[in-house]
Amino acid sequence: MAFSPTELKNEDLLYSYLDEYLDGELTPDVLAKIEPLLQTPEYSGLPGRFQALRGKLQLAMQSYYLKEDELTALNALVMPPSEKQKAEQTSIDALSRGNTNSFYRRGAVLLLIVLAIGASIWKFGRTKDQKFRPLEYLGYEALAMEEDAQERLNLPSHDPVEVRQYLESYPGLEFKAQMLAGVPAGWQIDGATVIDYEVAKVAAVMYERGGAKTKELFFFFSFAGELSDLPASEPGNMRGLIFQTYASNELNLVAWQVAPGVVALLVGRRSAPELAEIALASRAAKE
Amino acid sequence: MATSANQPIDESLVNIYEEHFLRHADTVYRFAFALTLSLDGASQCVRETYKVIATNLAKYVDTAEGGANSILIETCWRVFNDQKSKAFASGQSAVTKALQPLAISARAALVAIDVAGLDAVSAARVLQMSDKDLRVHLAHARRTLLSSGAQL
Repeated sequence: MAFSPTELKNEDLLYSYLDEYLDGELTPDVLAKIEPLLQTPEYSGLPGRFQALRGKLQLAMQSYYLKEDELTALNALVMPPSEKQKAEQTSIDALSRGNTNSFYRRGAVLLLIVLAIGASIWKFGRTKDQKFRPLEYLGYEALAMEEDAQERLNLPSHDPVEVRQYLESYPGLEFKAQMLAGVPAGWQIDGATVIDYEVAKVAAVMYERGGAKTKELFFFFSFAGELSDLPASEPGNMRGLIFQTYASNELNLVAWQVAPGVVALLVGRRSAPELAEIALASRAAKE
Repeated sequence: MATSANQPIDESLVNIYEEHFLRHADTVYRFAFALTLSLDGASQCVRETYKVIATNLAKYVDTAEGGANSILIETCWRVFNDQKSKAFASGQSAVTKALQPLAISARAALVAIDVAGLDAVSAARVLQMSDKDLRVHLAHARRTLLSSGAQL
């Protein structure tokens, strides 16, 4: 026999349909039972309190996630890493063989194009419209640092004071380089560097947690600019922190105006709300 | 046809597994944590859940796209119930303290809907409850959390 919501006791009906009530998805018969209940002093404000609680629960649950090695183990259930590498190599070899015939023909065309571009540059000089694209550049930089951080960090250090002094005394920076004032428990600073892209300089601070096998990283970049310079994205507001989020296949990026004329970009494998929480922890520590 | 875990399998099935199932791994972990209230327990539950999925991938060819989340929650719930006798040490986190007073069915209904994002009809189906029981458990969980002033 089909279930009729009106079989439920009033209180069960009210609490179990709160999400549908908030989303405006209630059928008229359920709405007709719920609305008078919400007018009573006992349940006044209940939808708002439920919404806040659900948000907190979702946020709290986000601190539970699988570690990289656990994900690798799940992945290996369908294909062990060695097999996967072999399969990928086979695909690459097949692709290479298929491309061999057209290689020389394409090469000749490419050479002509390169020569034409080279001649234009030689004739008209170097264009000055090179633009700093933070999301693209720093997304790549974060992946490269994950691969080999020590090679790319000018200052490997766990000492926040040392890192701050390094950033403050770095010559030629046209903005006040920032670092997080505080990070959630378990995280520690792992080093810093300044990246010179010619069109812009970027201060980068790396944070880590976990042991050698479970090491997790995130990166805090700061550079001169305005949040509005970045491509438009859905704005977020977490307890007063206005931020914009972006995502690549592997990383999430959260950007906000950390100081007048300075944009901060937090990049890591955590979800955007988790990264925003880290930014909030820093702001709280500063205050 | 069931495939054995750890054996290389058809590439299209691997793609289904990676694209549709693995992307929900953290959600399954959170659901499993709500059931076991233990990090170890949640890890074990997730591992067993994905073993079941991996060995039965061919069954999900038509339903994985759009249905993977429900399939995973359903499998995790079954795995948990099969291993119910196992005891896990629970921690002291705010989430644990908030969920501990709730019965397991109430936790399952709450997290399946308010965290994993299933609708009530799907949640009742995957948790093998009647629609009415699902609603009663969900109402109980929400009421208890709201009235306890859970500090999350």
